[in-house]
Amino acid sequence: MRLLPSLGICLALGGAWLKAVEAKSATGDRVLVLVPTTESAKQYTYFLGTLETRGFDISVRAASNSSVALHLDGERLYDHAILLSPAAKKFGSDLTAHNFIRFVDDGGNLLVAASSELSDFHRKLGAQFGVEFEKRGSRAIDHVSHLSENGSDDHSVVAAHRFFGVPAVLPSTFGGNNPGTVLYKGIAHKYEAKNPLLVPVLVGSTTTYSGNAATGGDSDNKALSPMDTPLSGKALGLVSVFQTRSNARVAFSGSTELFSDSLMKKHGSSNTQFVTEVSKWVLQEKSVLRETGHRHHLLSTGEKPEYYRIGNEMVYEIDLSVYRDDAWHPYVANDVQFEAIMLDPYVRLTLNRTLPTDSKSPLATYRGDIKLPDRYGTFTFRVNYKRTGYSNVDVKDTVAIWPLRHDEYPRFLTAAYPYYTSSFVMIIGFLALSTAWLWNAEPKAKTNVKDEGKTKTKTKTKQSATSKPKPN
Amino acid sequence: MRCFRSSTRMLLAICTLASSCLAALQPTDIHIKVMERTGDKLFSASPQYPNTFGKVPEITSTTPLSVSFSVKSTTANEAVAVDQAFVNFRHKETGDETAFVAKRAGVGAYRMDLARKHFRTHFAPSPGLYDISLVLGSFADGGVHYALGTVQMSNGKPQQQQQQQRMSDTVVFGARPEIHHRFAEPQRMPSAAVSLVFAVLCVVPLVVLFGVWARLGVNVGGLGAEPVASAAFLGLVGAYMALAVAYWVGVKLFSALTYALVLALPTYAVGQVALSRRAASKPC
Repeated sequence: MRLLPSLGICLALGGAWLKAVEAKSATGDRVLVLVPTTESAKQYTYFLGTLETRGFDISVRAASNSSVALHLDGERLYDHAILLSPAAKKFGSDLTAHNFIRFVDDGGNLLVAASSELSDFHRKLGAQFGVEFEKRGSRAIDHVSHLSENGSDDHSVVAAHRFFGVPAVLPSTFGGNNPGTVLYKGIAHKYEAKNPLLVPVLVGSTTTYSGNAATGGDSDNKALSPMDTPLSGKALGLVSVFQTRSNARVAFSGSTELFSDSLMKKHGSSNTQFVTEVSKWVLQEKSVLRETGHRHHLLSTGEKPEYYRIGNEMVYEIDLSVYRDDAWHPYVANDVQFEAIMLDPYVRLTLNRTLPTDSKSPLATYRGDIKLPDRYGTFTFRVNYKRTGYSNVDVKDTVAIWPLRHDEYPRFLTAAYPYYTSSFVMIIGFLALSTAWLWNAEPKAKTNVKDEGKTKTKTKTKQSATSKPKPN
Repeated sequence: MRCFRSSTRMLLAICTLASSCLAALQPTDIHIKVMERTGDKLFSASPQYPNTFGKVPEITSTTPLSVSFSVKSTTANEAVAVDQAFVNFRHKETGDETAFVAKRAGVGAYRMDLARKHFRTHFAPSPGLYDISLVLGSFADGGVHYALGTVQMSNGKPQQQQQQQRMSDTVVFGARPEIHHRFAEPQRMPSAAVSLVFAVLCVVPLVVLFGVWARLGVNVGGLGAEPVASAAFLGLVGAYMALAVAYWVGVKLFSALTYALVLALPTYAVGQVALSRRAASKPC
């Protein structure tokens, strides 16, 4: 008997199959969908059909199915998991919230849908990501903006139209003057506004609040106490997404009916488009960044040295691509920054995008001309690119910056001219003294002729003085 | 297809917003007061729905705000109890919202008193201009959102300090301020003229020395005994001096040592010949 509903589901899903398509996700196409019972999967036929059309390999399992497992021999069995069983207290034979967190840590993506009847499992799982669901039994209510058709109003089906501007998750059509309306029936949650990893994409409007569906009070059917600050307005989260530091993605929705055929096919609502965009983001079909290469070298020679010197002028380049529409495209941005860090950043510079030589190239190259600081040591060249909704790119290179050699300092200074001159004077003086000392010749005959002349004059004078006078 | 989508969206919008336009609820007897601790009234306003009060009163922890109002059903034209009676405060700059549940003060009558503890908890950390509004709703009668006006929440700290505190609390992914390393200033040098003067002064002793030698009759007449070897020896010694200058200019250490080694043998050999012959030529 169980086979027939399963077969029916398979036929229904198979009807949405086109020709076999390759995975459109950047991280894999194996999706595990956990529903309360396999029969209950019928209410999500449209949503699951869109996933099949997008090329995913869907495995629908009942939450209580004991064969459900996330890992086998340490490897993930699935790339993505969608939980559409908010009341389930556990999954599989013994899968706890910890197992799902390990699944996310291993790179798996998770889409969690809750409801007013959510279990402690979902509450604990959400708490790990900064999402705090309201009390069991409460709902998001809006007496002003809600679904009203055929003369009857359902204040617990909120017509939500306040979207957070996250272009990486929701396109610009969900912002601006005509944001569209998403019909939402489920539980609200608080989100940690200061956590940059957690981003609300759909929140309540000013008139939306969390209360009991019948009376508007809290879940114990009591009226709210005076001066209570109920969860309402912008602080009331309806759908929030979380990007981990390891680039796994998690989405929390307080409504399983958001994904149901009844609301997705409602005329005039933006549910289909909203669910498609959020599921594309969670399943890594868009806004996935990757770094395909990076390099650095001296500006003058174009070569990458074994080490740099202080004050060297170098060039740093990095190639970035973004995945969307089933292919990698150049990632265009004006805020890619380079840092040279030694404990603290010494240089932080915005890189400029260079025009590619090949117009069909799937990568964008960002380049910066950097003059290294006049501090030597072990530096880290880093591009730490974290933007809301996009995958994190963190590229590090450890390089050594050496001090200048003795002959690389500024030379031939005008202030040192006396020293240069005195050195040359010393050299010349040494050579001259050596030459003079070794090859100096004593003066010769000029001095002896003079003495002989003096001696002859003296002898003549003596002879004339001693000679006898001649007789007459 | 676009026209169809926009028309259906409009239809849905009309349906969903019908409850506000055709809401059966209307706030009446609205009174907004800001009082001193002594009870003196600093500000009082009684706007009529849907008008706002024009002035912007300043509210501190010592001047509590009080908002009282009644809710009337337009269909029954009488006061009704509602499921949602909030006084909502929305920060103009950040968009953060805080709603307080108004206390029921009678059939269809509500009141909210913002005491000091509430001010300290919700508004002291993030002062500034707030839009105050009433959010009323009932499962039976729909809802209405009525913007009352603007108030200034002050905690006494200067605005710059408040901004810095606000900024330091949040982590925002985005481009960070650029850091341009400040290089050390080049050392200040004396003027080139001073250096040249001292350079000339350094040469003067050499000139004086040569002058004195000339007077004394110092000569190199002994070179004639063995001119070739002597000149070669002098040249090689001069080459060592030139090698030292070359090392200073740019030749690397081990290259300079290699050249010195290459020069050593001929210098020794030539020197041996020149100096021995010079010694032999000298008179005893």
